[in-house]
Amino acid sequence: MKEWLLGYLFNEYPPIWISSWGILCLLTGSVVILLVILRSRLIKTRKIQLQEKFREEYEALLTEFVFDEEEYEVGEEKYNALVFRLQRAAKNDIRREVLVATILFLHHDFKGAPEKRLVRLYQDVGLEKYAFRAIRYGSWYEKAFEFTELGQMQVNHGLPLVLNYIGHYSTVLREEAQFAAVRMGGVKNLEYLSELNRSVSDWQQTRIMQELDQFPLEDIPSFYYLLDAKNDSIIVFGLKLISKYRQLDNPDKMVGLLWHENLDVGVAALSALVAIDHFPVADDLPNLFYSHDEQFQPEVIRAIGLLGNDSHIPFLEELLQRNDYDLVMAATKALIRLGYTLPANTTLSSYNKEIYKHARYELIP
Amino acid sequence: MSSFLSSDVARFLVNFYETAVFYYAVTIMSSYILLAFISLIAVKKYVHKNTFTNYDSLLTSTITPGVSILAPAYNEGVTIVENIRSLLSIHYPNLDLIVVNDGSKDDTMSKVIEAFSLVKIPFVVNYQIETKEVLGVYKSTNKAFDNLIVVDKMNGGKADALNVGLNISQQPYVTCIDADCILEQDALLKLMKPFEDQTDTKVIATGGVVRIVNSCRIESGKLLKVVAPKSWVARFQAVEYIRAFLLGRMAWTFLDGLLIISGALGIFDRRITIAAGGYNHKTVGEDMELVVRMRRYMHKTRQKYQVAFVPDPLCWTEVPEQWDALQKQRNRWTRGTIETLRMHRGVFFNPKYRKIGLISYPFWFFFEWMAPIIEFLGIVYTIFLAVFGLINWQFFFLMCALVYSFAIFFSVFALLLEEVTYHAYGRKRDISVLLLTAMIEPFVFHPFVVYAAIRGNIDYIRGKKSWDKLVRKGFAQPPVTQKTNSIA
Repeated sequence: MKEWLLGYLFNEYPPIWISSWGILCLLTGSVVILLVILRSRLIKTRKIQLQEKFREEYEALLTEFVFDEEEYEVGEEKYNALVFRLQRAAKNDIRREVLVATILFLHHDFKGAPEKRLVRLYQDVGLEKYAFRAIRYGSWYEKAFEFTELGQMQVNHGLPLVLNYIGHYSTVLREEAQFAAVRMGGVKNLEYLSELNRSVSDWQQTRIMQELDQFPLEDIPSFYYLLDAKNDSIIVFGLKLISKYRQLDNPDKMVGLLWHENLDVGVAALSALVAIDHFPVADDLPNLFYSHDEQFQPEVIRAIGLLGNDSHIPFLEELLQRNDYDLVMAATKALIRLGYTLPANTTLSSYNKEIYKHARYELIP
Repeated sequence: MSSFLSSDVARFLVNFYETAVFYYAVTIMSSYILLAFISLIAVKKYVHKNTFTNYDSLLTSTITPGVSILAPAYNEGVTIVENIRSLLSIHYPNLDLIVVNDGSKDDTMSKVIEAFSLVKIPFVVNYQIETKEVLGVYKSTNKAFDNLIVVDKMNGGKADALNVGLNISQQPYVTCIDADCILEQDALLKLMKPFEDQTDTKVIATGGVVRIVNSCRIESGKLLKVVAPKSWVARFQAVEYIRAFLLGRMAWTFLDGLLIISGALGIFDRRITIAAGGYNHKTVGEDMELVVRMRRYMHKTRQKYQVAFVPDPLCWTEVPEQWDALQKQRNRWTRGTIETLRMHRGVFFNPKYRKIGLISYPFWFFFEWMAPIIEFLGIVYTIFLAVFGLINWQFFFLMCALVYSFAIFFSVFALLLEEVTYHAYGRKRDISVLLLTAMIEPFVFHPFVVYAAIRGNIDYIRGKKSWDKLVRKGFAQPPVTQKTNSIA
């Protein structure tokens, strides 16, 4: 039997030995994978059962702790006993994982005093030391998770460690660190943005903007400093923030950006100027129109419709004669917004008249 | 004849053929195994990354980019109203639905007009892509259906109807959801994530994983329980889909060489799609053709781009349970592949197109299109040798064992990946059934797929262009009856 097998595996003819080794490896591999599937299923089932058991236990315990302030007064015997119990539990990986997840879950749902009590408990149990350890020695996804945890639990002394990662080459680490920095240090920590070399995605911008909603309006600083960033995505983000908070400090700085070489910056600047109703820019818009291509031109016309006045009507009327759907549509809408009505003796082509009707229906259905 | 067969020339030809085919087989198997390992890395990375994603951010944001669902309808009078309602209920904050009635001969249009209180509106279509004439655009008088646009047009086929949708949409992104699919609630949110993540590299399209819904429990358009299909034909396809989507497409995405986004589920950048020329109505494989053309457009205009893929099971589709229907589907896929490869033959080993020219396209050419042909010729050749008593049975059985071992390994690997990531089949019984299916598949399903591909090649040579529309069973399941949430 052995010789028979060796005869195949060490055959002189390459197709025979290649096939024989191939079969051996593939079959062995398949068996190994089958065992891994079975093992994975057993482990997963066991882990899910344990997690469920611990989750029920901690959810009940923590809910009681959160709402029964008198019983669990900080520094008192029952509170200390709870802390000791949780400290012991935290030494077990699965228990700690569930405990942290439960604290984060409840913290997300509660506001005010219960929220603060949970943060205090988290810190007293010393869960942050496990987070710091994972940030130092863990894999990238463990680090990223710990940033989220530290951010949510406002472990402010962890900020310097988190700040080390805000320009990291790994997108996930970078984004989670940036997000945690805002959560931990507040709005002032957005200053790091102006120093970033890497682009900030729309996703990250959305998250940060939503996080800013948690802060009182009086804490929101002027974002005009972001317009000086060397990174175009930061300038765009800055313009979005200025637009969102309707900041009027220095609109001329945004006017200058209308001619920026990056079209995205120009479009964002125009949107921001429209959002803050900066009417003086309207006179520059016809020039802006002629200095850009068809991709940007409809946006400029739209802005004229929102910021312009009667003096812009001849310019828009001239555009109505064009043979370009997007331009005619944008010009028609702009004219309607400026209170213009198509004269009865108009010389417009029947196609453009139809566009006028279409635009009118969209604005005044 | 017998003197020729014993001549040196014949021996040389036989040796040459056998060696060439052997190394071809080894190369194809090695490539697939390599792709499998790449997928393993890519999927695990995605799963870890996804644990930090809270899709509610996108759902509640005021700056979420808009998406139009394009839904072509042809003679769908029986299900159209229900399907529109289902599509309108998809979770996405900035969504509109464009239903394109492609010249239906039944009561599709009148039913929609009645059900949604539609009126014809003044609307000028911007024919950025040439299409058949649009007869009218309708909107509802009911504010609740404000995001519904219904277009009535002359019949021109699915691609033409989709192009009308592209012309009419005013959103930056469009998606075409295929017939008889059930979408996960967060499918569009997950598919939009790569677009939101883009920074310096433009994402032009995103595809999602399609899984098989046959025999699963469905209620009110929602998938409640995933089980292995009861029918063997569907079971084979269940294993095949896991392999194709989890191992194949994920690896190609990682290598930035993905050439196809399933027509069943994908989101496209509308501006780029239009600039590339929209859907091509001259092919039955318009989904693959569009992706290749968009890629070529981006190369031509020298823009950095990416075609993304989301490995989460987002879309559940009904697959044919009859061999005949399956044959028609695979026949069409083969013709679609040939048409696309032929239309874009300029990409073949063209260094200008980098990875798609040097790796993806040749892979599709040699291993997707040619593999069934070579396999078929191999069977004919083996029969020929057997008839003339020239076959080396020892070598023959060794080759069969090699191919079988590979097939088992590849399927089991795909199931492993599914198991450690999404774990969609919760019951032990289901995963056991799928493992058993993987063992039987090489004897039953694979030869049939080769047969269908050969018929596809023959039909292509004959100039066949039709779709052979599949008759679906639907999702009706007593006692709970539920229909699809899509239209075309």
